[in-house]
Amino acid sequence: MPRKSVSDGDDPLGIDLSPMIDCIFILLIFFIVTTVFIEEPGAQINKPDLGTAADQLDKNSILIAVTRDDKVVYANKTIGVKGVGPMIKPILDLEPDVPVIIQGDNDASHGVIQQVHAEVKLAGAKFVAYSAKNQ
Amino acid sequence: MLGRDLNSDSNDNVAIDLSPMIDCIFILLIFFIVTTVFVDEVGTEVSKPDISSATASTLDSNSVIIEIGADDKVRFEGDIIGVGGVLPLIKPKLDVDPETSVIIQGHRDATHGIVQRVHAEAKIAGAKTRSVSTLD
Repeated sequence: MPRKSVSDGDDPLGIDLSPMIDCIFILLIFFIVTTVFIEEPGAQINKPDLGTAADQLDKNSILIAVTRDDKVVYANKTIGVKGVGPMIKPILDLEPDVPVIIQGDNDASHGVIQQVHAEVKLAGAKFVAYSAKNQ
Repeated sequence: MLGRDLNSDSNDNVAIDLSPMIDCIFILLIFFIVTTVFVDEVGTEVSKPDISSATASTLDSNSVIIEIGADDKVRFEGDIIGVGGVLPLIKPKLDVDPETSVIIQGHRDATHGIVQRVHAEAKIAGAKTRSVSTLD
């Protein structure tokens, strides 16, 4: 609706939107800065408790989960050990420095974790970390 | 603009309609709110020896090899030491030679949790070179 349709009298009705816009801009910038585009595995993982040995890991990482029944999960899909390479190779080709985090369950077998690790290394990952329970 | 009187209502003519911009920002804002995931991952970096270098490092006399069997028992040179025994085992060796490497060899059927706890103990003990591999 045009604001100046009637000569005067509706100027006091105009709401000053600039504080709201400022506020929205701040929110927008906050979300732009904090957004990382990662695929969460989406599997229930009971991570090992490592106490003080655990470090904070990079937020922008490729996450692969190994469940307690030794299923390898990436982005809500069970991919199996052989599926790890084809899944992460395209990402690592674009960004070779992106870390890979393997979320292994407490009861996952060591052999499967090591097979996944070998596949990840073969795909060209420089940094591989294993996830631990958050303190 | 040309025909307008400067004094009476010139201010209204320069006012920009902000609503399309606000709409646009709102859409961006909603997109980022929806896509934001707050990842908070903690863990440890684990190195894995290459197949070629695994045999070489096994031959290295300066390394401590800790074995984890299929029964989740932690062994060093045949003796069962348990997870708690890893730190007291490694610490004196690291005090003598800080470059001592720790090799953790887990059986295929050992659980991931035990292997990780042994690895964490080695890290707390201060071992700089740690590697995890599979026991055949």
